[in-house]
Amino acid sequence: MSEYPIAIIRREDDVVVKATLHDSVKPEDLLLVEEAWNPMRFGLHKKLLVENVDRADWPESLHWDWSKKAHQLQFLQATGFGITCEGAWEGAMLTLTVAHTARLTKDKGKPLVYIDYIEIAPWNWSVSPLGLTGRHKGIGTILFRAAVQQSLNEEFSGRVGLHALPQAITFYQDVCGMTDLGHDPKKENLLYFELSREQARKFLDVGGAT
Amino acid sequence: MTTNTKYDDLPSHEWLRRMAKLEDRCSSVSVGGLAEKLGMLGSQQLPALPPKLEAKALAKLVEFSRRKKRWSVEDLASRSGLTPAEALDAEEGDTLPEPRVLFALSEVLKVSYDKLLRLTGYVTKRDQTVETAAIRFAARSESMERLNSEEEKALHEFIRALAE
Repeated sequence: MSEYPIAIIRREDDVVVKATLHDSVKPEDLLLVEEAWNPMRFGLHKKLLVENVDRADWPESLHWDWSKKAHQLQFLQATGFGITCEGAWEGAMLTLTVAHTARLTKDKGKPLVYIDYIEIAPWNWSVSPLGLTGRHKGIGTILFRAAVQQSLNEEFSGRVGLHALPQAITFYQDVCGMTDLGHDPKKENLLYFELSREQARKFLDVGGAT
Repeated sequence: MTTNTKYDDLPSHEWLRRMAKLEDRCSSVSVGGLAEKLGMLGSQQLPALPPKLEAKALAKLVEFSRRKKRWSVEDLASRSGLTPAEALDAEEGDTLPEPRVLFALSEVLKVSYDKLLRLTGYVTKRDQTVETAAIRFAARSESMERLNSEEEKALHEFIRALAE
């Protein structure tokens, strides 16, 4: 596993702080990461119930329990990335470089990096109904950037694909500048997004669809 | 031609700040690929309560109900037909009581026996309403000599959920 110095932003004082990007994190390591995050997930879960927050406003991945999937994770052909800051896992991502190809017309059928999993530590979540704003920001963006860079490394020209959960649509469409290719009936009708080579270049240079 | 892009090809701080600000406006970055593959999508059910929380919710119910009625543990035992040791165990919440004990408690506390069985997992069909009510009840304040108004309210809501 290699480590690369990166930066994220501490929300409290808007200061850029040093962090580390790890590549080649194994899928089963995801369990260790999630184990570190679980107490806070459960705490958030209780708070949301006690405060009677509408279920529609709950973080969509709140109830995922990866510990039950350990035996499946070890067989995944995935590359893992993680971000640590002061020893704590701040975000993690699993990508696939096989079995997924571009659907956008221009590069249809060509390989791309598929983001199978990407999560930010619960202490970085902004949960408006509870008035929580998170400890660090920029983590999702840095992880996505790593996926684009992986795509370039693999000579996939920066192409990236993923199926977004509904609450993340704005991020992938407006922040990352991906193209919405519609609901995918093979993935429980989630919206499928793709980043073309041109969009990848734009993302790396100036960022997003702004 | 190989593009030797390394992961330490860092963006400028300006880029990072701009993107972080945009990311801040979004609720989430979560994707569904792996979750769908592992059958975790669409399961909007609550995760199983940790055994401690189920026992804790039940223990609090028993204790709060007894204190509200100004009963001693012996009073609770004699009125429910349980031994004092069984009544005490039910209040301590270290282990889940047997169904026989749950039945006795349901009678004296006037709550649904069926729902107590579901809360404690003796009946496998999960009742999301009961679990939600249990977590909320268990998450509230610790016990005191007399129930304060918040504890009374919590108890009342939980009993209502079990009685429905």
